[in-house]
Amino acid sequence: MLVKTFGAAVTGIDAITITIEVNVTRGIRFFLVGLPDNAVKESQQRIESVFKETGHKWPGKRIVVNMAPADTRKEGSAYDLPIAVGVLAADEQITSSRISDFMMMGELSLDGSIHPIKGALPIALQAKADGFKGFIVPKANAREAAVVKGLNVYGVESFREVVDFLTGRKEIEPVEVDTDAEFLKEQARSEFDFADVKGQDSVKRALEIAAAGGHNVIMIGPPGSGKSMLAKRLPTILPPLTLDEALETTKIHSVAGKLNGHISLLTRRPFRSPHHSVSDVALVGGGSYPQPGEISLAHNGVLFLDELPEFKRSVLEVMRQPLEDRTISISRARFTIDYPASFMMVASMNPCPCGYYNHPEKACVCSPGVVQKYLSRISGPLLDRIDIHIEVVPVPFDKLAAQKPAETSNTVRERVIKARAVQSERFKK
Amino acid sequence: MSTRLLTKYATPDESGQAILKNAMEKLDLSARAYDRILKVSRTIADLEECENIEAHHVAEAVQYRSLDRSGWAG
Repeated sequence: MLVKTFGAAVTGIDAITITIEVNVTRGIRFFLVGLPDNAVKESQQRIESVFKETGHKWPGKRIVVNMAPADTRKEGSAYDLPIAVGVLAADEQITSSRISDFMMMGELSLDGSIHPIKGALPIALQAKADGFKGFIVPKANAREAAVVKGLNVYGVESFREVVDFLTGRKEIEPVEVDTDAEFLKEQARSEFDFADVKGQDSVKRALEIAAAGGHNVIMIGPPGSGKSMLAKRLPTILPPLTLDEALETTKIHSVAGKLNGHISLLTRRPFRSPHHSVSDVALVGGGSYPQPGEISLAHNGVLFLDELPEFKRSVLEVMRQPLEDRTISISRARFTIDYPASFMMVASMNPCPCGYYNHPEKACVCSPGVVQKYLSRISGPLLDRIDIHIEVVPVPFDKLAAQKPAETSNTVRERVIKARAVQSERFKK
Repeated sequence: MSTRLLTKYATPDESGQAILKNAMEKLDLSARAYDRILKVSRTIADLEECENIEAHHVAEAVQYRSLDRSGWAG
C-alpha cells in the first residue's frame, strides 16, 4: 500500500514541505531515495529498534521510501518520525485517515522517545501556509512552534503517543501560547539600566544617537572605564521589538537550535558578544550545511565585539559586506542561502597595548610605534563603516562617589522611540 | 537610506555645508565617511525634532569620527 506523510526541510530561515511516500510491496530490502544524507539513511536502524520496543513489526517486505521534491537535500535525523509512521501505515499495521492532515517532524531514540529538532518555527509557518490541520513536534519544541497563530501544535514525547493519537485511541491537547501576552510580559523586564553607569554623559549621548539611527559604534578607552558596562546596557535604550521583528529573529535562533524549551518567542533584542577567538565561520555563518553565525543571531539587536584589535584580521574583514548589505549570502556549490544580518555593531578597544595612552593620570609605557601598530590592526575599510567613534575617559573619583542619580534607560528610550517615529514617518512618504 | 534619499532629506544648511567641507579637507575623509556623517547628522537632528540639519548637528557628527583624524595617536 502507498502512504504519504509530510515533513519539511529547512533552507536558510524558510522551510519547504517534503512529501514522504512509502510503498510496501512483496519482495525484500529497504530503499530510501530522494537525496537523503547519512543521518536520514541511518533512520532505518533507529526505526527498527523503536518498532521492537513499541510492539510493532518491521515489515519483511520490499519498502521504498521516496522523499519529494527529490532534488532538495534532506539532512538531519528529524525525518525519523514521518518515515516510521509511513512504514507502519503502508504495512497496514495501523489504519488512520488522519495521517495526511498533519505535518510531523522528530528524531527517534531507540526506546521510542522523541528528541527535539532544529527549525521548528519556520516549519510551523510553512505548515500553516500549506493548510495542514496540525503539526506534530517533539514536546521540547512545542512552545516554539505554537507561536504561529491558526495552527494546532501537538507536543509529543514518545512514538507510542503519536501512533495512539493518529489512530484516534488518544487525544492530545494542542499547545496554546498567547503570543501577544507573552510578548508584552517579557518586554519590559531588564536587569540592566543606564542609570547604573555613573558619569560618562558624553558617551551616553553618543550611544543615544547610535540607538536612534542604528549607527555602528566604537568605544576607545583605558581598562575599567566602563566600555563593556555601557555596551551591555545599549539594548535597554533601543526601541522594543515589533512582533514581526521578533518572529524573524526567533526564526534564526530556531534554525540554529538556540531556543530553550521554555522560550517561545524572543521578546528582547538579542545582545551577542562573541569572544575574540571566534572563527570567521562562527561569526558570519557557514559550514557544509550553512548555519547562521553570530551576526545573524544578532539580527535586529546588538553585536558587541569586545577588544576589537584582538580579533583575527580575517574575521573582521568578512563582516564588511554584511555591514553594508544587512544580509549575508552563504554560497555553496549546489545552493546559496541568505540569512538576514541587520545588526548594530558595537566595538570596544584599548587605545594601546598597555591600555593607558591618553589617560589623564596614568602614564602609557608603549612607544609611539607600538601604539600606531595596535590601532592599525583595525583596517581602514572597517573603521570607515563605523559612524561613531567615542573616546571613553575614566570617571574621576568625586563623580564615582557622587550619589546624583543618572538618567534611566526608559527616559532615554522614549527619546529614541520619538526619533525613530520621525524617521519612519519620513520614509512612508 | 539610499543616496537619493540622502540628498533629499539630509542636506545641511549653508554653514553646515561649510563645516563639512572643512572637515572633509582637514581630516581627509572618504566618500563613504561623507555619507555616514550626513546620516549621523540626520539622526541628531531627528533627536532634536528639527526639520533641517543645522551647523551644530554636522559639527557633532564630525567630532564622532575621531579615529579618522590623522593626529590621533601621533
